[in-house]
Amino acid sequence: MKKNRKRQKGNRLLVVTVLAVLILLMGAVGVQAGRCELALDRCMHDPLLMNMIGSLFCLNGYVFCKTYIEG
Amino acid sequence: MRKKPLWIVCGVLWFLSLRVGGPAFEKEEAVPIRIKEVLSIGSLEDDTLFQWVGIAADREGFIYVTDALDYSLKKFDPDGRMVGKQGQKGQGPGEFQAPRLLEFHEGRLYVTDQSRPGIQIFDCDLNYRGHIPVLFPISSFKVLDVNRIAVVKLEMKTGCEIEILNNKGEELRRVRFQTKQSPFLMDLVDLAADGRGGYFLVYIFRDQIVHVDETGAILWAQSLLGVKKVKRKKMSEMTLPTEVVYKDIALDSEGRIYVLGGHFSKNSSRDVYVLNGETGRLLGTFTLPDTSHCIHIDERDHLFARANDGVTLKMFKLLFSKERREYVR
Repeated sequence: MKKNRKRQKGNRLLVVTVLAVLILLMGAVGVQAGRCELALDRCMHDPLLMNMIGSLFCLNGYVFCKTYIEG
Repeated sequence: MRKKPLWIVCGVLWFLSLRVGGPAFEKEEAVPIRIKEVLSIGSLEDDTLFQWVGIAADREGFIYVTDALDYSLKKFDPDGRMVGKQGQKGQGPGEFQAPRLLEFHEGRLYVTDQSRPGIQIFDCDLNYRGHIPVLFPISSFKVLDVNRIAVVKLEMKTGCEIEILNNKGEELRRVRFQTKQSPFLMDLVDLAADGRGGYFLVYIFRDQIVHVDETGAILWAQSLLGVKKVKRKKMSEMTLPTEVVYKDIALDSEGRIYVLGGHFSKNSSRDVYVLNGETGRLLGTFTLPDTSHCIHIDERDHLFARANDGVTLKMFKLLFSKERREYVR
């Protein structure tokens, strides 16, 4: 009984550790991928650019950011 | 029961290998193509370049770049010494908000701006010479001759088209290269003219490189990385792709195509794929020493790429092994 409990505890610990590592990894990727998205969001909410053409210039900036900053 | 943790560990390792390792490069062949650095302009210790973006070179070997951080157009002699600088922040003639793409043709420099519509024209002494009005933002362009520019514009409704404009910005004709429209931005391409009226197109957010003729008919299509789907994310009320497959395309004097890979490449933003322009067959790959957003090849077949996040411009000589040269051709 004691052995089983110990094993179960060990398993749980392993699962929790693995999940924590995964969450951290995914979080890191998310932060890295967020720079261009954040810039796009700011650009789209700029009062001077809140029209169709202005939005397209923001999107062009997003594509530029993706090719220049990331990767 | 005992095997459970082992399975979990195996699953996690498999998952991590997918994220970190990227796709396998089964289609590639080890063809000896190497690069040798022959010139370096700008470093972390000087103020020559801050964040260069566009690059062009003339027949005499002068190099021109747009620098986004000091709103300028710069000229360097063949030894890498800065011999001219023009531009400041502004909306007036010869001024920039965020200078981007740069093309050289017949003594004229054509420059786009991230935040200003149209194309500004300069002579090779960097004097402002005029402006081509284009309402929509330009994502890629090539000057075909003094009165014809091939432009890929970013528009909401239309896509899959190259517009041929005259030097007044008037549309001469459109080349539609794809009939089925994909979700927004997924059809965005970088283009290179094949010199016979056709174009090589590399999709930014799709694993596809195509050669089309002057009517837009596909001559060949190639996918190199086995990317089935690019991640897309909802943002600012739109669903946009978040991973770049290919970043840029360039041609050498022998008709070979060079494509810079993005997020899905083994060495992201460093792997360059070399294809036969006639058939689209992959001839080989090489890896840049540093990440780059673009590649440019001049008339003497020097390849230019970025280093130090845009502070340095590197020029490389392309080296093909003699015994495999015929195969490479």
